Amino acid sequence: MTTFTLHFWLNNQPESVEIPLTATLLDVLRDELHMTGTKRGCGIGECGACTVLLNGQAVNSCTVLALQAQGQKVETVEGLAKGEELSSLQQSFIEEHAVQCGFCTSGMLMSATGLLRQNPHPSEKEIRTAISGNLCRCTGYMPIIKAIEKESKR
Amino acid sequence: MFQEIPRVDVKAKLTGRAKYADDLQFPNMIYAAMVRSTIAHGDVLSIDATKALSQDDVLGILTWKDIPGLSNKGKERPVLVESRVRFIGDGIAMVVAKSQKAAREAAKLVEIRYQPLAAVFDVKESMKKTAGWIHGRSNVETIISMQHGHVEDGFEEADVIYEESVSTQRVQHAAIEPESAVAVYQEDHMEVYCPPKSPFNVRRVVAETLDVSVNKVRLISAVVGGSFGGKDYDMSLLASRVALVAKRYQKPCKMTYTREESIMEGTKRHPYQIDYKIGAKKDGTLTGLSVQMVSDAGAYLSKSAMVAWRSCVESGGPYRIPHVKTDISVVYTNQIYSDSLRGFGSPQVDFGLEVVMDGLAERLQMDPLALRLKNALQDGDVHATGQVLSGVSIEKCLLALKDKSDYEQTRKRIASFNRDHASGPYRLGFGIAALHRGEALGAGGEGIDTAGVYVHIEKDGSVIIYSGLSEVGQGCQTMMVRIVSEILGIHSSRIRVTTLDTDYVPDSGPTVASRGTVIAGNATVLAAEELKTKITEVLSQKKWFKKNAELVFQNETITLRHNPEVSVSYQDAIKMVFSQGENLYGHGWWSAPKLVWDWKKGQGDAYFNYVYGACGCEVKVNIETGKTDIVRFVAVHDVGTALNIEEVYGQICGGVAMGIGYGLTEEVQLREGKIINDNFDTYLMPTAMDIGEIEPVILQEHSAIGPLGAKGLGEPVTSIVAPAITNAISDALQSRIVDLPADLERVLAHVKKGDAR
Repeated sequence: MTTFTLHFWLNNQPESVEIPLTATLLDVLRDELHMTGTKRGCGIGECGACTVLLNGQAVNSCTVLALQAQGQKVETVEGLAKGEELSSLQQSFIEEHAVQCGFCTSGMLMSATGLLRQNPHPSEKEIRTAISGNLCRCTGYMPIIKAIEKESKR
Repeated sequence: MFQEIPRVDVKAKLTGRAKYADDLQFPNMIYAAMVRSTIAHGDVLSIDATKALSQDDVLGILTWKDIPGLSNKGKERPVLVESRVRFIGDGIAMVVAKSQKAAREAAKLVEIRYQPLAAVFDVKESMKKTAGWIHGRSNVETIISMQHGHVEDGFEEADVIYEESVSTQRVQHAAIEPESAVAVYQEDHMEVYCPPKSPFNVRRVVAETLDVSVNKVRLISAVVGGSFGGKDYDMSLLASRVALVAKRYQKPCKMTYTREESIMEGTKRHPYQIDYKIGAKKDGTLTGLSVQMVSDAGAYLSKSAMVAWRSCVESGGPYRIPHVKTDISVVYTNQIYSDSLRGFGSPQVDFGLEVVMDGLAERLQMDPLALRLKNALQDGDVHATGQVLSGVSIEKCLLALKDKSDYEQTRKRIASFNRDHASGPYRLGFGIAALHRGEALGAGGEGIDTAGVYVHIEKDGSVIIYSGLSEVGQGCQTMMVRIVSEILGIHSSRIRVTTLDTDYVPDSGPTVASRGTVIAGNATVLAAEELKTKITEVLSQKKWFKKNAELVFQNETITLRHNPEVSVSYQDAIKMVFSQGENLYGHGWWSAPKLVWDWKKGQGDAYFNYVYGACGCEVKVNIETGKTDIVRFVAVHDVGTALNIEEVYGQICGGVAMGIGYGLTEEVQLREGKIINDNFDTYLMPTAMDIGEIEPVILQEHSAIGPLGAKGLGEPVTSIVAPAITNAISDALQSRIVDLPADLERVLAHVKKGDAR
């Protein structure tokens, strides 16, 4: 098995890990680094549970080869809170009851974070578009849309 | 109205720290992968694992011969088949390896030779005597009936008879978390970590498989990434499989299904074919209803008979109908089997009857809402089961829908839009649907509709709740915190709900039938009340306490009701109790009231209560593409006292979204028993772009039986979404849609039919 050493920035910390050439970014996060906040739901980039930010852009980490992250910045759900202190987006998710089973939550948070960085005051339609690659089976999306809207108005 | 409390599990889920089964790691863990049947019906002749076993990191292969206990019980629980496979996906063997990848790759190399048998994929074919038998000597597992009055008399009294055949499709839970389980071998017991909907059922099946008593299996719930009725039967199989491997190798073993496997083996909603005949007087008064149904159980029994029974009982809808005759046949086919899925037999009959009500309204030239209001059940009315009803709120729901949807104006606006834009590509439509739904398991589940909950107050006044009810995302833990906080009059931050661990928590039954709030909620009430009694007993020894005085527990303070000047803080009261050498363990056990069902007569008291709801949907249909956009969805539900109104809002929105999928896009497509849309690129669920504006309308008619007046909610919200949507599309196209889903092709076909009219 051909391996290589991946050097990248993970939640603003330098990280190096020896991985198979064919590994996806999701494989590296979950299986090599045991950063399990990022979820595997479908494996083909359809459900969005594995969404992370790659250089600030929301991507499905199951369809990104790890070597594409060489030298790049990757952000995951684990990087959102500062210690015990939740980010204000996470706080909005609590206030709007936007979490039920929680399996889509990490991906939703990352898609929303990516959106709000590029477009701090999105319209409702832009919010819906930004999370349209993230499937949620519990909430019917409405509380999540409200939480992101709330955050954009803070 | 209660103060808002945040979900108890929310922070872990927001930070990525919540551990779902696939997130768990144990030292020296090994992995298993399934070898599954590739044919729909036949006998396994041989298993050749030579190639698989020669691969790096592969440790071995297990078949049914490695099962010390039950491998399967004919119609039930095929952990690993002995020889007969009955659907494409049946588990035949497990390959064990040091890594998940190695296990999965090697599993593909196992060669199975079969003796194929004739397979049957259509229920009507399966009912014929010429069909190959799947279990026993008939493919009809059971026929369940309900008979009220004499239906022929009802049709004789009618001025108008309307007949219609409808069908519903096979859909699936599609929780975003695929199934995963880990078993950890311990010297004197097996530890299983998994997301269970029915933890004590999973424990029992694992014990039966390993041939040990249930106390030798300890199930510790991982965080559950959605259930909707899934992770029940299928989780019992998965947990049993990893336990077998863990026992054989005496090492922790994990197995996680790919999405494709999850879809291949995950149970489905029963597809129904239903023939309706309904009679009414000219003024719309219903006189008789005949409902003839066939349910596709797939290859194994699971809970198909219970699902069918609920369909039967609820087949008359929330309407007063003096003569009703319903029969439902439960039929096996060589396809993935059907089981519980949010609604449990309600969505099929709610779809059917609500479509038929619209058809009848058209025939009578009557407004659909007026027809429903005219026949809406009232307190004291006799239900089609013969039960006399109380606490009926369907009329309130329908009137709230009329008000909140601005019903008459909406109809007018839509009619004028369609007139003014007759040459354009869009048509608007509005449709409604109504339901009643039996709470909890009903007479079909006698003896198992019970729950135990323990509530312990610690010496510092903090509280732990121990419950066997599974938190699948619906918020049951928060519900229990609410109840304890209200009864003891303490802040919710004092209370924690423990992890579900079958070694320590009492059996609270399955998370099904929207029963959690009512059944486990009531057990929580009893446990908290026991604590109040214990505290009261100690306080009654105080000088200031007059005999038979009543205490009020509120705002962290305990006060004499008749003399509010006299009070003691909750904290001090707890100290007093412990200083007396007393304990503060509270135990609650609640059983649903006794119910009776006469299977011969098809009558009885089926449920201890019904809940009611009504909804309305506005659609915009593109008649060139067949695409339907949900513009607006108003969902009125009587939830009793809302224990956590924001969570109620979320339950309704989520249920509606799932119903939109059932109505418009979702369908598990099979070709000769093989599922061809086995991932989310082809199995299409609603996204945030597809749900329009969902507007929950929450009615709070106090329940006489639920804890603090609450009612169950999870399933009713999904059950009437599809008919409201299809009735709206039918309104837009002037052609009645009677089959699900109303996807692009079906809508386009009706565009042509509507034009022809």
